[in-house]
Amino acid sequence: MRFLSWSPLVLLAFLPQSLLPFASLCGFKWLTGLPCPFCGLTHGLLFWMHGEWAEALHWHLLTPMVFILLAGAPFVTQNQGIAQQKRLLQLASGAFACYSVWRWCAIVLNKG
Amino acid sequence: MFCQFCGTAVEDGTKFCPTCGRSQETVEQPIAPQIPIPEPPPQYIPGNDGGGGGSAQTGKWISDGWQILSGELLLLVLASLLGAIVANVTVGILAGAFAIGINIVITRKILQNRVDLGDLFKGLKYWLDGLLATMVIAIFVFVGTLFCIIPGFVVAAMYMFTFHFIYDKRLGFWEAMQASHNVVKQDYFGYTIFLVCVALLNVAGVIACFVGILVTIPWGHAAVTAAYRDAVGFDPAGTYFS
Repeated sequence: MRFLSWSPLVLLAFLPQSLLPFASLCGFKWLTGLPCPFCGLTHGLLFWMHGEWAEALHWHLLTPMVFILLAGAPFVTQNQGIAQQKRLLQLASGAFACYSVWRWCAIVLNKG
Repeated sequence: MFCQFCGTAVEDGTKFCPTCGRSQETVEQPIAPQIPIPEPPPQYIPGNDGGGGGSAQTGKWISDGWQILSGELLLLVLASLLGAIVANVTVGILAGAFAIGINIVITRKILQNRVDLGDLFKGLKYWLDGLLATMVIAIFVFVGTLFCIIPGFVVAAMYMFTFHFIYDKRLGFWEAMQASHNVVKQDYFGYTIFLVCVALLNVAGVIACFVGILVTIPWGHAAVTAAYRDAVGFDPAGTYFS
């Protein structure tokens, strides 16, 4: 069961691109008009699993990081202590926060 | 004094550690307060987890949930239905109390292998903590779902044992939420997948002409209670039955 974290990756690898929703399901985006830190990840992972790396990065720059986290999750859970897991989560959260701020700045500056 | 299981500082006379939820009354050799604890040791999680530490065991817990349910299918479905009706009639004010009630019913089934429908109303004793927990968790989950939905599942998983901690360890709603988070943080991904599987069970119940949900809701409660049994362990005194 610890390899369950691979299930989203396997699912996305076999999911046709046409099945992804065109409209955003993100409430944050509906409310603010800005993408939330996770917006574009599903598309990014789908394109990553289909081998379209550039398209994946276009949707979300942190797609490779999330792929590594999901792929490595079973081993992290089994072999690492809570402190290491916490540090990993903090690093990932920091990366998402930085990427979000950068993306918001880019959107606001482009509009201006 | 300090909790001998996780090293958290707790006030004298506290019955249960607010961090790991373990009973402080069974402490045989409490750690002296003057002993400095540089870093708390990893929490001890009892249960037959097959060496997986605090990892979630989705398949086992869902299977255990079914075994618990199938032993008293009719009574547990009835208890769940009754709880849902009262929760709806009271516009959700007693939803937390009856969620606690159904968990007490299932706990008795696990510990004493029998069902007492009267236990359903024992959750009323904790109605305020149940209500506050329901409201705060709902707000947190709502905020989580705003961020592309999946974070909402993670937040819901974080607090899945809150009601159990309220009645089993007699913690306040906020302490119970923190204690639940402390258990789940050992394997965020595993517990989230477990909760998603429980949610999918209920979706399957809805697809089965809505009638299926009468079975899948108590099944979900039983699975989460089985998870609590393995990850935390019940208070051996079981005073909430009296």
